[in-house]
Amino acid sequence: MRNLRSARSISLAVRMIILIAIVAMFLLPFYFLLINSVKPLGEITKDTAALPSVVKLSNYAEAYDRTDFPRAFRNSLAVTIFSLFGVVMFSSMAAYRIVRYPSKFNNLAYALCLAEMIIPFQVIMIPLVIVLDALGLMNSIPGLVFANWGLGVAMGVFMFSGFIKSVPKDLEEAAAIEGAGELRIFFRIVLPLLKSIIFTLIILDTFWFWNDYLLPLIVISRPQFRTLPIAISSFMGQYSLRWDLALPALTMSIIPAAIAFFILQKNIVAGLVAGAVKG
Amino acid sequence: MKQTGGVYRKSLRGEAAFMLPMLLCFVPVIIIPFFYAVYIGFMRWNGISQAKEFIGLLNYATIFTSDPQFWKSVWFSFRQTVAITVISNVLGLTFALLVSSMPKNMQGLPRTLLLLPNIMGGVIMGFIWRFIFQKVFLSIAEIPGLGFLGQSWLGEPGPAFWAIVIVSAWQYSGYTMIIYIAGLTGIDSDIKEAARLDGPSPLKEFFSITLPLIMPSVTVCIFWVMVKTFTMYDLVSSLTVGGPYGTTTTVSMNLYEEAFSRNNYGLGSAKAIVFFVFILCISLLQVHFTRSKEIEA
Repeated sequence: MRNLRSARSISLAVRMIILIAIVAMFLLPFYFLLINSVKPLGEITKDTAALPSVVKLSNYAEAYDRTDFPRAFRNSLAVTIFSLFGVVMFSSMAAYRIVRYPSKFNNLAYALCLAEMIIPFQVIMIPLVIVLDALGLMNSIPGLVFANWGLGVAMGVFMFSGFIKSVPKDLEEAAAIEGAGELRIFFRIVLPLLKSIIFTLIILDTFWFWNDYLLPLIVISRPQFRTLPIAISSFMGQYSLRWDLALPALTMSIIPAAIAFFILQKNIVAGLVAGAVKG
Repeated sequence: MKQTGGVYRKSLRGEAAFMLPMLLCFVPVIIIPFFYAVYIGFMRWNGISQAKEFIGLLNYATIFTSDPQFWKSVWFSFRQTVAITVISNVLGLTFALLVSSMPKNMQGLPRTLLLLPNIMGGVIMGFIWRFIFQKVFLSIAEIPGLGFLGQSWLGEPGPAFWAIVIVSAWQYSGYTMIIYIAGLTGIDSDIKEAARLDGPSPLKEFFSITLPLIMPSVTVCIFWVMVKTFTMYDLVSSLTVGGPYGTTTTVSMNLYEEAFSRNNYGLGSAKAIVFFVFILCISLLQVHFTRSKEIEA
């Protein structure tokens, strides 16, 4: 029976070769990006498939200076970290309150969070500019962070509340009898229990905030506040024919995410599966 | 008070302490802009001047009767959505079946490498692929049999359409693969063993046993790609910049230009509401599909 089946299905060796071929094809763009990023412009123009005759690392140095890479990197890092911190704190607190004290008001807040998840950013984009302007937050890193908080809390509330429902109340009740305040109970007892879901949310949101383009595009116009995608994009506008500078700039801009990806790959896969419920 | 309410007693202070931080960013960033978008959809306004002129449904009339560019972008995004959804789900599911048919210790690496394109934002990805389409394909086209790669990918409407499809599928099929692998792993091995007793062909086994069992993953993946593609902005803005001749302008780009390039905040907001209705239909369809699958299961 078994033999009959394996004879009829494609053998493991063949499947393995197909898979290796697919993976190799998938990685080809990265290969061409890397080998051409260290070539002189003349060699790129002549033949992109050939290996570089010299490894010209000065391409990277020049792209690093001309994109003002450290500044864009710092801006992206600041936006991502502060946005993550706020989204995790605000949405976990609200979700806790919503689950443990389902008043009419809190149920409404929860329903609005669910509804938010189907609103594409483009729908609120135009008035958001007006609101941020009225709050004096346009053209600033805090403005970007604040908008990310607002855009991120709904999914946070959704994910946290699903998790908190399964957290037993015993510990909280015991702490309350000993006279601990509500906030103290949350930060000392509940928050540490949410570690795994916090991690999932951080993974999903980090890639979003780090790679976000449309929001910073409409909020930031001053060069000194540009995040990486915006800085690279405006650099490409000026140097569109200088592939010897553009390719190193593009490579540098994906390196931080690539490093994080390879270190955290198992967690990222788990996080993507857990977050797949969000449309 | 404390005895009856337990830990979770009514207190305005507690309510404020826990809910206010979330609401103070959620309301100004989501709730107010959403209703404000509905409001300015009825106005003629350039976004700068004090004067907003109430014009009723005129913006909507403009959209539906005299804005062919908008409907061109809707039709483009629609065709993109169909092509990308089909291709990245077929590829993702194929990859998932291949990867999960490997011995356990050989699944991790291909899974990770196929997911790699997902670390990039659309803008960066678009620039990288512009290089591939404009320069690399030109070099590879010298290989006999691959001459078709040498065509002008981004300069003609047809190839430009498929260029965006290729790049999107390259990114999304890694993601759908992850979800499909999770679905395949979740299949009860007893069910598979029992079904195999009849000795179905591999093809029949896939369509009558595996596929029905992973339908929840199929629904998630299809709608995830649909929404992603229909709202696409980043990738197209760097890969084709909406060209050639505006043939690859997405709905999002049309919205952006209406508001921020032509300064028609009123018309732009009305378009945003029409756009929202499209997305709402997709979401309702998803809810419908998810529910009907639950009843079957």
